[in-house]
Amino acid sequence: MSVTGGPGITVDPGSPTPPYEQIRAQIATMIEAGTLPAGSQLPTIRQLAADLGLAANTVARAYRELETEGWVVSRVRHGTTVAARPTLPEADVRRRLDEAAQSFATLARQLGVDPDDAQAQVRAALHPDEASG
Amino acid sequence: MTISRDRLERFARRQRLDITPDNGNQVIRYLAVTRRWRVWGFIGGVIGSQLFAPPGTIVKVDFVTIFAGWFVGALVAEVRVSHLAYGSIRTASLQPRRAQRYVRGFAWALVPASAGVALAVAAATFVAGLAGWADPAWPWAAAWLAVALAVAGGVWTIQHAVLRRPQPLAAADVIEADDAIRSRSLHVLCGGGAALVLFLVFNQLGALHPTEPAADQIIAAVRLIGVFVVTALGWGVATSVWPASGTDLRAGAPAVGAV
Repeated sequence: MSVTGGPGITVDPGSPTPPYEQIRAQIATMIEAGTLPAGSQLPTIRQLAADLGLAANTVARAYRELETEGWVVSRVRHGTTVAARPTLPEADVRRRLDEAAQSFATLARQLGVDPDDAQAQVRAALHPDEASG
Repeated sequence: MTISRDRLERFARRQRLDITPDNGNQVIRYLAVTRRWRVWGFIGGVIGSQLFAPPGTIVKVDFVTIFAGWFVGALVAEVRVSHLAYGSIRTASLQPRRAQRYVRGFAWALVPASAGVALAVAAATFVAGLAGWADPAWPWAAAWLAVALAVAGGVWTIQHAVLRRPQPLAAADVIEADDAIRSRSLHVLCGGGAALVLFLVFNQLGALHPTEPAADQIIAAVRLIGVFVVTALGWGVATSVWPASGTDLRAGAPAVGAV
């Protein structure tokens, strides 16, 4: 079964990170990595809140913080668009992924998880809809 | 309410949708809800048609009242249609949902354009009354204008609600069915809403009462022919095939998830 859309971001259900911060961080990372190029329009606050089943204030706060940090630009009647910023170099993308992979591998070893099970977890995290479907 | 295979296939044909084991029930549920409420609306329209019949009338078939009843049922159905369920992990596309993804720009503009026609007829009635070219039934002219604008406003609001109906990220065939449902709903609202507003505009014209007999005959002819033209327009928009052939509306988009 295939899944629509491009890269997705999954937020840990047990994470103490509040939803607005999860949204902010994911969008900021996508902009930094160039997945969301400059000029891309983001969905309206109401649309994103409805799709995520969150209060509009939560998404509004995420957008506000993204704007304060210079990731996006909000204009009346034009909505919220990605601001022009230098994208993350390929080497930095690799380095970040490597750090995250090392951290995950360390945790898997500490917990005594079988490597195949750990890889399956990663696959499920990368393709959440395939796992649930 | 059971949905026949023919009805399901007609929906799939109009929306160029592949019915799969995962999205079949989703489409059937939608068709059942909309059919149930439209039938109730139609029955309400038939009853309303009798209630507004002149005293002594045994059976009266008032097309506009029956259509209005059917359309109210269609509006209620759109409010009652359930959206895709949220999973334990909530995901959403970052692609803005725009009307043009679901319906032609022409169709999307029909309801506000019809409201504009209602305002133009009201203005013409006002000028004709002041100039002495007509002897308008002012209370009726004002009432029909108010109803036309209220209908247009209500339909416009529900059109936007349909556009904003939650769409958590899901399997491709499920999202395609959800898009098809949204698109079909908008087609019905655009075509039906514009038709109803224009029918009310014909009632506005009926309240104009021009002093010149020739003008009166022209208005009567416009109202008579207009009913057929508007019915054809509404039906054409509501049942038109979407997406138009060669259009790729399923482009991938980045997604964001939240728990």
